[in-house]
Amino acid sequence: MKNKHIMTGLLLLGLTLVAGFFSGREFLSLRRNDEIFPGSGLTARKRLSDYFPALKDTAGDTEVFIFDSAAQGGNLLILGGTHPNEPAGFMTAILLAETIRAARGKAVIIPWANASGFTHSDPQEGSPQRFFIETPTGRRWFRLGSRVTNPVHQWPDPTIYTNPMGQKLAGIEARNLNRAYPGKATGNLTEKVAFAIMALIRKEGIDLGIDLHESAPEYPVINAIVFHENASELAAIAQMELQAEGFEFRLEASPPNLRGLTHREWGDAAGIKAVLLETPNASHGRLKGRPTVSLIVDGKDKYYERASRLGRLFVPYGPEGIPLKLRVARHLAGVQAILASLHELEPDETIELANIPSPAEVQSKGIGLFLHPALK
Amino acid sequence: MRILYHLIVFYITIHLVWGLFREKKFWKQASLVLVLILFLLRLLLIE
Repeated sequence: MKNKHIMTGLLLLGLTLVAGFFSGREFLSLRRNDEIFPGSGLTARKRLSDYFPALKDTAGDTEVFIFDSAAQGGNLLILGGTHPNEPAGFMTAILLAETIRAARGKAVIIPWANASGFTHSDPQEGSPQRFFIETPTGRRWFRLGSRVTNPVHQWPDPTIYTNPMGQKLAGIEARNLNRAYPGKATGNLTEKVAFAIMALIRKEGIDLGIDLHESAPEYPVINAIVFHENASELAAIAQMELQAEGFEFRLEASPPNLRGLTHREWGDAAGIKAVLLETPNASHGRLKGRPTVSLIVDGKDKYYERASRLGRLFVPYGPEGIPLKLRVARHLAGVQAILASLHELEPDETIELANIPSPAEVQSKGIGLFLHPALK
Repeated sequence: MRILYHLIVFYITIHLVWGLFREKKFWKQASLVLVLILFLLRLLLIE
């Protein structure tokens, strides 16, 4: 047949549209937020755009949960999802938002700090788009995003990115929220998000900011408390307390010449005590095997186990892996130790949070027991 | 910037569709289609 290739072209074009429809639907579903079911301690549910209206109706706008005791004390900011491919960070923030009640002072929680980053995953990594946690009534699914803002929302990357503090970085870092502080009202989307978080810090009178992260086991800043010099004593006392509880944490001073990060700019620009916590996560390390839901949740990886035996890692990595429940337990223990340390150093700024799940119980029973059960 | 992005992606998409109907070998047509899916998703700002 003379025009056989035209017919084949039409058929393939039809298949393209069908495949595009289904894959497009899957990608678009990532733009719907996972549900959070805040506990009875919630006093206000806001959006980041309430602090910087230019963010309204943009992909950078995100939810803010406020737990205010009305009793005099300090004000705490907890950030999860600065890097949406670091699940222990945002799962700890979600867990806290679903359980805590403020007994003294105020806690402000942002679980998806870089909301745009949750709408896509890192290209060429083969990462799952979602992972699940078992709860008593079934599975709850959570998105796993990319380290950086979605290029659909912020494009193009410059060849060299100069951040708001004048530091020159690789172009892709223009989409990294943790290089964009203190933000810029007229900057790119990521800089606007950082600017909005700074506005929130000022408006809510935040005294202490904790940014929850994860890092690859081969990265030296791991199982660590990174602190601004404003928070050096706070971090040192917290570390001793954590060691007494059996959690090993390194102390890392925020380098003064590394600009744009929470542990630097929150302290410099807003004068608050700023700390960042890191736990080990194999699923975004470079030595990992197949990136699966199991790798994210159970944290077992034979290649990391081998690398550990060869002495190439900065944390021990055995056959039992480093499961998400342990990483979340470490973050919870870190938050509690930092709050206890704040109480010791600045009694007027005491922040008491009731109902924080016990790290030991989270470690032994899992996260799902403490999260809101899955809806049937 | 978004208009520029659309123009670039649209230009390449048109070439891919044009190539799909000019190409006579099936496997080359199939290869074009694999790339075309990605460009359609980009054209619609989905991914």
